[in-house]
Amino acid sequence: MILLYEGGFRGFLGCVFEAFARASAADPSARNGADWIERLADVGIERRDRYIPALFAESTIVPHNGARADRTEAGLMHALGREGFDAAVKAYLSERPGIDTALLRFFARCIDRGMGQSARLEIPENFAVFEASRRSGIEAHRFMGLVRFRELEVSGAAVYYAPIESDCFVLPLIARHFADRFNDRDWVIHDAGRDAALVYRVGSGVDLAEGFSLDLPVEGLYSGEERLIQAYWRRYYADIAIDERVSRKRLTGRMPVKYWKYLVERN
Amino acid sequence: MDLAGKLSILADAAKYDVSCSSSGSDRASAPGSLGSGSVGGICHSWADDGRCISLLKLLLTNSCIYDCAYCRNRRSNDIPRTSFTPDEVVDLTMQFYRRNYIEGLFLSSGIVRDPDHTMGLMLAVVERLRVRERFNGYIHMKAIPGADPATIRRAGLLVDRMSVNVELPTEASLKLLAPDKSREAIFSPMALIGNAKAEFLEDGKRLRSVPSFVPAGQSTQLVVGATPESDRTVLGLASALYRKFELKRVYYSAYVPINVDSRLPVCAPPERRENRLYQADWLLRFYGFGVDELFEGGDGNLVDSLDPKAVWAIRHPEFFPVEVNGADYGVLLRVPGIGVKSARRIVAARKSGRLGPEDLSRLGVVMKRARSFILCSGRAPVSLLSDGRESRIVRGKAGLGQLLLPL
Repeated sequence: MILLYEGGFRGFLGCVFEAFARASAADPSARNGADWIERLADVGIERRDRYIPALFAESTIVPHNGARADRTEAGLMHALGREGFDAAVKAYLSERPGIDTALLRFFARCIDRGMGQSARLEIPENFAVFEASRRSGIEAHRFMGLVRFRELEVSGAAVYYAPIESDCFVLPLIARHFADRFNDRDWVIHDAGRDAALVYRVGSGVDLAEGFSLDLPVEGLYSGEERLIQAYWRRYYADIAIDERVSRKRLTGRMPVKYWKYLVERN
Repeated sequence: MDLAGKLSILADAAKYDVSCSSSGSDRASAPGSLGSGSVGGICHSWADDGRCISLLKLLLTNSCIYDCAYCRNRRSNDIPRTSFTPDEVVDLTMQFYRRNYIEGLFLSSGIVRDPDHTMGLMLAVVERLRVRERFNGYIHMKAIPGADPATIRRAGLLVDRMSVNVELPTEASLKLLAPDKSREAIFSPMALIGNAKAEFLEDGKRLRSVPSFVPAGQSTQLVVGATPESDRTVLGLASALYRKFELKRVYYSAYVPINVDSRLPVCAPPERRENRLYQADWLLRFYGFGVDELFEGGDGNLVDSLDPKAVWAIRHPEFFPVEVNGADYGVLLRVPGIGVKSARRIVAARKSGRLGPEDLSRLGVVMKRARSFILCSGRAPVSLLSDGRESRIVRGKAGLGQLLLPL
């Protein structure tokens, strides 16, 4: 059985709840038994828009339920500990194929045998979770550096706008860093691939906005100084490389080409 | 000259300083002011040479009263000279930082008039950034040997890191190539910074609110390949500097021939050597190796074709194989293919069960390297993929002898 959800992490938590509830209902006598790994072996979880129906696989859509998501979150926090739960969230944000189901198995094992199980990387699901959370962490850290704000003038006020495209959904992971660092101006970091954005307003903090898009070319909104500062940065970038040591291989190894699209200095 | 022209010249003149780290400072952000520190450091871009760009690296001026043979800015070179005003540097830093191009400023300078005057000019930039602009980003500043200790101390309270470049590893080389500098002049500001940092740390234990003094510590740079010193001399000096002045980092810079000068070699930058020195430096700092261990049975230089940890392992067949299910953390660290992280993970993971070769790969061990040096529950891990020749090497100590041959 594949449980499908809509929306983000809270929808996913709803499916986790549903998986455990169904297994309990199917075998009420085993309610307190610690055999979740086996009892959930045939259940999978997938986001609805990513689900490709397979032959013979049954699926059902689990409707959104805030209260259940809350209960699940509290329960998982208890079972996994703060660190384990954070790793699970990061793994979820990786959006790697199959990660939602791997997370369910990971939860089942930790509930059955204790949170110490999360360190056992020789177990394939645990390794998948660990790898996925590492990926998200690495990419989030990369984007702390690779975000490039453009200074826009919107109805007389300065707004700093940065478009990005990332493999993992990094916005939730970088929100705090940018809100701390750039707390004295309004800014937007726009995940152009997912139509989501972090929107920061001085005084009211940072929000994650879904369904965010810009319908006009952003260059038209550049402030008076923006082009000049960009030109300075490009010039600095070109001058700081040591000609005798130029190496395309080293460059693309450390800063893969997929990240170049919105980098001022590479365009 | 316009600002773009100055930027070109003064960035170009600063690029041979390899330090670009922005780590070690957890400068907290403050509401209403720009910037914060990140303990791990953040790279913002990578230049065409593949080097990370974290800080805006600039010279305040490329005019210099000194005549160091290896330096592009030496007095006897006929090149265009220019200077930034303090506010030009402040504005560039703020504008770049606001756009998240950089993690902060790395400010260095040629020596104008005298060391103290130069240091005063640099201090003016940093004061304006910190006080007037309330800039909370990372600042790395050069301490100029010969500057008034009071100026250096003032700067130390404003910046995250200070560095004094040793450049040449011996007094003889300094005399030859940098006649205006001396070891004594270089080491005394290092000692000053180290002592001041210790003083403030000590006060911090007793008093509630003590400002932090160069919270990210001090670093230095050694040029390799311009003078005949061996790797052993270079690393011996580095290790003494780590010990004596508690340096955070020693950077090694492969010499790039910029000037035509009969005292200097003509060669491509020794990048491989630079790389091996960094590997050895890591072994000294994080793997519990001593300098002497790295050069046993060698000629005083690191082996070019193999990393220094593998070299040590091959010279010590009696140490191997290591049983991964029992060996201490320090012993695991000596195994090629096992790093600090994977050694920690092994120690944690084996509490809940014995580890086999597959588990080790998942824990991050590079099995290709480690295979010949370990046992898993008494058995040598033999890869199903390896050909006959390889598996002969991995079985028992006779095999290690074969690995010694290329040396």
